[in-house]
Amino acid sequence: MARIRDTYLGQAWLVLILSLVFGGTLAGVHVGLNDRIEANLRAETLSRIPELVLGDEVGSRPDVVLLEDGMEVQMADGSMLAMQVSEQEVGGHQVFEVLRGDDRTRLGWVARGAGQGYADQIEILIGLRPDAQEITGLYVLSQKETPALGDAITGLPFRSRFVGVPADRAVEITKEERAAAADRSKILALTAATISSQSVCDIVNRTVADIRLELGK
Amino acid sequence: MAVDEPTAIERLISGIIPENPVYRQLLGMCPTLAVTAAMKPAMTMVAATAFVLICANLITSLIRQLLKPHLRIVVFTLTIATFVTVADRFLAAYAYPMSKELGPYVPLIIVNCMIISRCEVCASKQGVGVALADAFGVSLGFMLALASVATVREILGMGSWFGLTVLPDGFPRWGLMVMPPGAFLTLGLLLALVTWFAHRRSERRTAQRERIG
Repeated sequence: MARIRDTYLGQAWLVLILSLVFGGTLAGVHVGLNDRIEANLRAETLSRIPELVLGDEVGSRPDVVLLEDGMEVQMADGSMLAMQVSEQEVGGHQVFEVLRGDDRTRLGWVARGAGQGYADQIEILIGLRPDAQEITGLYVLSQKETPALGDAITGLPFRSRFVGVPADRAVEITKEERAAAADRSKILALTAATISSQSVCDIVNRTVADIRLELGK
Repeated sequence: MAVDEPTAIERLISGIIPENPVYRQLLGMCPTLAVTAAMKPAMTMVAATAFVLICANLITSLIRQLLKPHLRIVVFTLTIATFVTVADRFLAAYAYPMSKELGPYVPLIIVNCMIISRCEVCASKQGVGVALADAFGVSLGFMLALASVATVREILGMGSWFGLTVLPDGFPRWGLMVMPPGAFLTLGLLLALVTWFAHRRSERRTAQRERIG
């Protein structure tokens, strides 16, 4: 009896059983709530599409009315623009094709990318021009980076550094303002959050590389 | 022995003010400073923390006879992490904007010393009833602390309380109060006030005892 108690199993059986029970509980919670969480993420994604594709034409927080097959967005000049959005999977990524509502001309693309950040998974949305040759916007959909340091990746000052960056070259982070100003593909890293900045650049590079050629056809 | 340990009602009351986690034990400082710019995020944080604390105390108390001293911290952490994840997912599903606003502070409940200290001090030693009373008392104390800090900051910083305007438009808004320095200033002043009251009360008691003696 004493021998069993001294073994690893004899010592850790409670931890193992609790791990199984808690793991099952979390799996149940995930199954039960995942659809609702995904629906929330999708609604947020759709509401961010206008600013990612149209940029300054709509401002950073435009009024967006979600419709069944698209949305209506208030432009910076006060006019309303109807947009149609169709969803597809390209290179393993969720990609939204954004069309003008009236003549169905393509306004651009929005792709969802994900990767490991400093603390946890980072999910981003990347806006691309209709020919997929240039990044038109970036939005951080979810992140759990260090408060007041890494979480600055969600702020407009950092996100706007990606606007206008060519999509045919990989972006790199730099710590020098002069280098970032001289080369559009160099992104100025956030002070004290180099890993978070690097993570976002890696996700952008990977996502754009996976989808660019397919979208540009 | 159990005879000397506090009863359920003593645990419930002591958690609210005499052993208030924030004002008397200086635990749970991270959420107290980080999410108290307004009442809504502060109360959401209180609800999530209370849920985790109550569940962790309940489970710890139920399995207290099976706990091995050298593995108890692992068990506490495992239990707390599970319920924090459940709370985080529920917020993401049913209160998505608030979940985004609180960001990493909900997962950070895992490292809130207030919860692990209640598992260690009370739930691992006493029965389910006492552990639950302790969790409710400490949760109420935590709510009192966050509500007091958030009330001062939201009213002075934004002129509102729970989003409802309470100060006239002419009253200047102190923008500093909703920023991190406002959290430190408010907490420091409220801590000083609570400590001053507690000190004065204890002096009065000592004087009374001396008079009787």
